[in-house]
Amino acid sequence: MNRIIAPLLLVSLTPCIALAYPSYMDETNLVMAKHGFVVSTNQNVGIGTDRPNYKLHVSGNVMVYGNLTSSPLVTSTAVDWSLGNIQTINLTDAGSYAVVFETPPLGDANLTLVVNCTVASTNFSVSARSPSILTWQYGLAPSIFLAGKKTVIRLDYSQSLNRYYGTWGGNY
Amino acid sequence: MKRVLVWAWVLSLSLTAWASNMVPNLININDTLVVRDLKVGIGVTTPTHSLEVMGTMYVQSSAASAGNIGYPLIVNTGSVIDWSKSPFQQIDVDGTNKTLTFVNPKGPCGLVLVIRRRPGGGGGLTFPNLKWTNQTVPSFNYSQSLARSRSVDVYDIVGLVFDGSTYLAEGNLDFR
Repeated sequence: MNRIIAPLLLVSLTPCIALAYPSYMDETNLVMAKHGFVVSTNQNVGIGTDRPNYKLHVSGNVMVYGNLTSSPLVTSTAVDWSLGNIQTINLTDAGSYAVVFETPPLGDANLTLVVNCTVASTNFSVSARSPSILTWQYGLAPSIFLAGKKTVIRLDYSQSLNRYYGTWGGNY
Repeated sequence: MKRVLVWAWVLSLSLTAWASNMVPNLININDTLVVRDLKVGIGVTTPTHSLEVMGTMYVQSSAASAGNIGYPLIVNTGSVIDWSKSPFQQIDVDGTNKTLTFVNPKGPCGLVLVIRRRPGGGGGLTFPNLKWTNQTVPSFNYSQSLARSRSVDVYDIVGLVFDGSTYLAEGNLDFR
């Protein structure tokens, strides 16, 4: 009878033990890689990688049932693309605006800059801080910034080439 | 002895049931990974979405190439486009006029609406109040006679940016 009850006891206690302790830890990671999942001591999370270099670093594909959004940021004229893929800049006076992409994103990315024109601007320029390069479809930089309208600048960024490829539409 | 073991077994079963019910609602690993109310936060201690990341999310399929972020393409038969379900949606034009209604996505993002014009099915689409590029709304009224003369689907694509409050749209028509 004891031979029957003892294994039952062990089996029934196992979930308690499993709940109480992580399955594995090592010196550099808090939760572990044998499950393909890491919370590293540099406060990054890795899925499919045990050396995450970003807040969430996925080696593999991601499927999203819902939205993947980036917080709207009202930028200054110095745009830091590492802060978000969709950013907004407000034109609030008719002076010159020289927008500079100071910091590129941390990998290849699709980027959107919404220019919210409170007033019209005829002196709006966009450039990228060297060594980054900004090029426009057909060589045409955005030129329509009408009062009360929006202009949308879409960019594809290639990290390996350190180059932005831009298209735009105005008068929204 | 047997009685003691039986009681121990019953006790352990009770403990297991108790432990199962006590699965912590809050898991917090060094404020880096938080599981709370069925939501996961990375760099966020009080996530409000299924997965909320404060910082950069980087996806790669190998050391040398980027991975994909995929979404389901939702095929709509009605006139309500619920962008909170996916940023990629399709609607069929198959003979009836439809006045579209949008449900907002959960935050700023890019959206794509694929309009599939079926053979034999004309009809029109009326969009909600969007801001179109150059203030020009493309025509989404499709001739019944032209549709009847076709044997294959024709597609129009509407690309949108939702900036948190406004939809900014542009149409690319007549993919065939």
